[in-house]
Amino acid sequence: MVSQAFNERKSPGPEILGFLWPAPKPLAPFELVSTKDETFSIDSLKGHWTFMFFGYTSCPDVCPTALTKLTGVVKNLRSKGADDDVQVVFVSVDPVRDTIARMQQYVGYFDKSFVGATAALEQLDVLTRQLGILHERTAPDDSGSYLVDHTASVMLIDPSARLVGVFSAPLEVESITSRFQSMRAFLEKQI
Amino acid sequence: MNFNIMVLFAGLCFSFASNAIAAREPSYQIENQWVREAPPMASMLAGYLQIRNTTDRAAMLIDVSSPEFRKVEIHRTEVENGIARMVRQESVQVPANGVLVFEPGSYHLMLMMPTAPLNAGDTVSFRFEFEGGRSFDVIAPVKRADSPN
Ligand SMILES: [Cu+2]
Repeated sequence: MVSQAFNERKSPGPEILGFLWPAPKPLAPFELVSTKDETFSIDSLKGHWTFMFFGYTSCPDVCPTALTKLTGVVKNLRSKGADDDVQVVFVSVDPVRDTIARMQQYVGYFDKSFVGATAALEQLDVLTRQLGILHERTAPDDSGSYLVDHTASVMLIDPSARLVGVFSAPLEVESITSRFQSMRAFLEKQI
Repeated sequence: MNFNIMVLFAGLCFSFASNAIAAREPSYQIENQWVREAPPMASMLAGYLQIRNTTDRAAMLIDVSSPEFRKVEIHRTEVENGIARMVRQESVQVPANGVLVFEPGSYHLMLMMPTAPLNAGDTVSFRFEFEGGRSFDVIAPVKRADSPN
């Protein structure tokens, strides 16, 4: 009730596809292993606008496509000088095969600034559950290799570690860039 | 004219001729084929293309193979309720006088276990086999996917 009353006092906010205003979701602590620092935790979100995508490195279509699109978004923001506090994080939902060394090569291929992170499933799901990310291994084939079905949307987390936006597939560079900039401009005026 | 040149010349004539015939005579064409360059350690790659069927009957693609990969499958990415999954297709149909597009986020060739690392600038050979015994060999460049919208 209290939070609802609080929400009602918030300005209605602009109509932006995928914007979670007026109900952004504050995240609870979690801890992943990172390709950049030792860990990627809730503190790693603070002070950054984070685009987070969940997938796995043996995914040849959806994941490279999404990361390529995010490369485009970052390039767009860079050209506008608006990328300083923006980070892109690729979280593997296949921690058995995706070691940190492997993730490092993988994310670095797309953009040197991209961060890779993962954790054992139990820890990983502390984060995925909060973001509504689903992932499921398919039955292995005769050579033992398997696919992982996973959420295809990009999550946007604000510098106060709140989930504020969801960009659904199909991902489009210009649309994500402009929606992100509108969400950000609006949120920066709220404090 | 030595024998090698003769063969080369004959080959050129044949390929020009077959292109010319393909434009007129109903057939299937594999077009715009490319393989997405992947990070160095990748064990799975994807191939994209389109198949044009200029005949009055639907074409059924039943197999794709490549000497550069131990296994090739036809897949389709489906996004349902926000979840992406790749579904193997035993065969795919190209409508009569129609085109079937393999593109990121949709139909793709799932290229598994490359026999050697592949980088942009390399090429991959494919054989496409259709129901009824027609098969087509094509060469696809490996390309880095930039960020087209
Ligand atoms: Cu696939």
